[in-house]
Amino acid sequence: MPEQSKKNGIDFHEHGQTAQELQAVEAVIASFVMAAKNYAIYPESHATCQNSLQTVKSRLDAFIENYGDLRFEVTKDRLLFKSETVQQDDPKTEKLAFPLFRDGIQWLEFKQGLELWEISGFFKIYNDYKMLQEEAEGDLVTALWEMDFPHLQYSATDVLWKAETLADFSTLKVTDSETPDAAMQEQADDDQQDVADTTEAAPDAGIGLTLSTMDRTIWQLTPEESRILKQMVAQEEQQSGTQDVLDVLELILRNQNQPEDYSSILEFIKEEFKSALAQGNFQIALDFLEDLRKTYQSYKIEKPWARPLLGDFFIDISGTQVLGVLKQVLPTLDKQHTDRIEIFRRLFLRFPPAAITALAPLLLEKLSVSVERKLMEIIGSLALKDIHPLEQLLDRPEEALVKKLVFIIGHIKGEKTGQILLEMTHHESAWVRLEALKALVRRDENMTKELFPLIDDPVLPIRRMMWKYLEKHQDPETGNLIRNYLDHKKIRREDHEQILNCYKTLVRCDSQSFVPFLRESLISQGLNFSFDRSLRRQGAALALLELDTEEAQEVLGQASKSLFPNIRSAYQKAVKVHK
Amino acid sequence: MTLETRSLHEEFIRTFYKLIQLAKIHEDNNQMLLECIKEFMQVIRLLVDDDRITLQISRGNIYLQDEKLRYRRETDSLTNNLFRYLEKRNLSGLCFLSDIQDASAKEIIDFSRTLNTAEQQEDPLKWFVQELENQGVAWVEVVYEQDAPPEEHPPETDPQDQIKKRKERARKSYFCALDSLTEVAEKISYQKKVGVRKSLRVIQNMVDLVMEDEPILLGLSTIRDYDDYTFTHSVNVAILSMCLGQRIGLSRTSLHRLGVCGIFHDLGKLDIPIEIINQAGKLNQSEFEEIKKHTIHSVAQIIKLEAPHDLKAKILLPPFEHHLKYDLSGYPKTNRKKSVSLFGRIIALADVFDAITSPRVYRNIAFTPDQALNIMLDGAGTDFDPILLKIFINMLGVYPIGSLLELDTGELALVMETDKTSDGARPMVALLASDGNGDYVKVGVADLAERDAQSGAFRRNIVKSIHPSTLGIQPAEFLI
Repeated sequence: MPEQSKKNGIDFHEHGQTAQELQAVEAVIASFVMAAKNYAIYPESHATCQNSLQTVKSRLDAFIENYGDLRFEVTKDRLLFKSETVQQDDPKTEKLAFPLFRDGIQWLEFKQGLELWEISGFFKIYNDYKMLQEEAEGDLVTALWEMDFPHLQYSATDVLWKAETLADFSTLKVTDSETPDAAMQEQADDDQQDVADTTEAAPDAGIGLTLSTMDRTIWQLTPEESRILKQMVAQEEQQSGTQDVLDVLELILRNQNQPEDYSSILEFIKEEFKSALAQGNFQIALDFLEDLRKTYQSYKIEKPWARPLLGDFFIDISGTQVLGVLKQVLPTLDKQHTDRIEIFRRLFLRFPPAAITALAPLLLEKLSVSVERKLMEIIGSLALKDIHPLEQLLDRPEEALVKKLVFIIGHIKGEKTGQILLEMTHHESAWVRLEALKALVRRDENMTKELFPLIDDPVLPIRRMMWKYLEKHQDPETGNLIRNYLDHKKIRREDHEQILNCYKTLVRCDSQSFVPFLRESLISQGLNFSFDRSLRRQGAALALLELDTEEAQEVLGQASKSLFPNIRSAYQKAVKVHK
Repeated sequence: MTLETRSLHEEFIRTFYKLIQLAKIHEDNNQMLLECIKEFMQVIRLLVDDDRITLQISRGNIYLQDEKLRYRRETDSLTNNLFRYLEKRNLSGLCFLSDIQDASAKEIIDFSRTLNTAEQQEDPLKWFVQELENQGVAWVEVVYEQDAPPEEHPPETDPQDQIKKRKERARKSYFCALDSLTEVAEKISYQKKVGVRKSLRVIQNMVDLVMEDEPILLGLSTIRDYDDYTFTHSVNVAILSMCLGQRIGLSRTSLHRLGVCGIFHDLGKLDIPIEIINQAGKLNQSEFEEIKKHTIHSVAQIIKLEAPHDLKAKILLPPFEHHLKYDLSGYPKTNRKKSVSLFGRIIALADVFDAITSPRVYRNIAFTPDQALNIMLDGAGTDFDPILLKIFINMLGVYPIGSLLELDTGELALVMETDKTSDGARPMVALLASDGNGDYVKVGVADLAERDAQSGAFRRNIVKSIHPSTLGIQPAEFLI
């Protein structure tokens, strides 16, 4: 192997390459190292990864344009370009060469026309297989072969077998040297029981002539057969086969008698079920789940040990790991897919309430109105069985999600949901508080005391809704609450409308009993010119005007003739407003 | 060469090869054939410049209009097939003149058939040139070796060397496949985790071989190991399945999956007590019921493999199905009404063929390959998919590779190459003779289609086929 080239001296022309060419190669390698490193740290969609790929592509394109296709030879710890070392593995940083060497790759060639997806695919493969488990599912070579990149070629040797792997036919025994027992000649075969019935009765070795004398056209395809064949192949290439696999898996499951085997089959089924959902194949998933539920029921008697395993399975498929795939599927459904959306609904109604945890966040996706509505229906129905998963989600930071969940809770009757809604009226998000309040208002229950603090909510729509609510519940309790509020409230200028509403509502709650309070508010403290006092006087005057009783008129009469101008002013303002 | 030109060149190769294949098997008025002619003529129109289109082979490469056709994996199989096709006819190339655009469909068909038939002649090139003259075909000329374009780089190896290397690769692949399967079985029996890296690698190598040189793989499928039937059987089923899959046009990825399917299709037999598997006497009902469970066990074992989920999902169905039969009358009995999958039907064919042509501990009768095909023909539509069976028989030929034949000259002949002529009963054979020590050696090669120059009668005729195991012959030793 040639000595490693140095930038200051060695003849770069030894193998026909120029200094510029080597520099360009080294630039490509540097971008490879960076891309490999980034793929290990970030998800593929991350901007850092994407930028790395672009750098690799631009450098490769530049190289190929100037110097042609780029081929690296691979050794244990180096990459060579025309026998020059252009990269050496460093244990502290990314080992680029070793994984390639480990799997037998002798050289890699990047060809003209290389596209970004091929580069991305290459680095994904590299990242997936640079470290292998003891019992590996595959390696770099199996993955590269599978991908069959049109512009990335390679050569690989069989490193997985020892050099002395037997390749000698003479070690294989063609037949048994002992003479077979005569009785065996009449024995049937196990695997080919049916064919054996035919073979035993078959004529002797003259059959070959029969085949040879047949018109060969009988085993040539007719145009119709060619068409059917083409269809068969196309179907095979295109279809996923998920339904068939699930059908068979169910059969296999029923035949298992060991918990460990049963569990491993269930684990596999989980992935296949996930595939069905990822494909949007809700019907397949629904049919399968229904069959499995029947099996679950039958296991009370048949296989009691399997019931908990199946129970765990239903919980497992309710998690984000499986249901998370719906994130890509649901946004693709719209009002044209009525049937599928309905099947989606029927499917998820069969899930346990635990599914709410995975389903609810999907409400944050861009869903069509019909899909969103169905999803909320599903969540609501599941929550009827157990509210707890839904309740736990109310701690989520996403305001939009929590609002929708509160909406759902608002349509579930019961004391528990009432309590939850009440708690949500204290939520930091105004939207959530408003939603909770709307739901509680709809309930038509008297929750005046619990909701009363909302009249002081910083958000106007909430306060207004509260006042409307209080207007519907004008009773002594409400009146006392308002009275108490007024007694303790530190009034600010922005509270103008609020305070006046208080007084107006007060008097409607229990008109007579509050007259002394109103008198006190209007006529006392004549020398107090504060805004607070002034507003209270005005409010009291308004309330008395509304009351319009003899007693109220008497107090108003006093106010109108008061020696204190602020009291007279309050009366006059109230009269103006009242008119 | 621009991308457009390259596409056009590839299109020419594709339509030309398709034309000569269709002309072989269809009547003149066949719609597919006529459509193909149209396609071909369209490409001709686009491609013809300077009044001609030149197709040449030289030093392992194909040239069109003096430009070498670049290697692409997708077209590798096609170009190899065309290369071999022309080679068998001793043709260095053809030159299509612009007048071809005025040729009728009938003339094109006749030309194609003449080209096809040339292979059977003693001097194909001379015969072909003469026939063109006799038929008055003026729009095509034969290209001779000295007209071949200059090569950019010297070829690395000559074709014979390439074939030798391929055979070596094939042989090694077979034993590596056995090795990987043995390892898997061992680990399963010790209830250890089992990775499939080796199996995937070796099947990928086999797919490459199938696409390059199907006869070599078919030769491998003749391997028999009496003492270790299950593993060689599984590898043979994989090979036969991949060959059939390639014939019907499955993609590379599908071929790989089919091969992995084949190699693992009987994995469930590891769960059957060995005494039952190797039972010499007849199985009683409960033993047979036990054996039948191997299809279910195979699925369970596949699920436990350390392999990508997608791969396992793709390969678990056929092992379950391969004894169901085409008409679903087989086992395991289920309520499923759905037909057996394509892979399942392919594996079933390969499985039965290999099984009934193998001597077994409990069965003295092993059928010769041609006998086996005849028997299987009776099962078309019931046991086997009739369309796939046709292709399977077509693929193997009347006398499949590895068939041992007794000739009327007293010679013993081993089929080396299937006979692709319309007759189908006169393959190329290796002549074997006893070495006096109980073994056999190859003493020559013969073409059973060869006729006596004077009488016109065939020089050699087949008396009967014999199972190679009856003489202790391992066909692969002579083929690979």
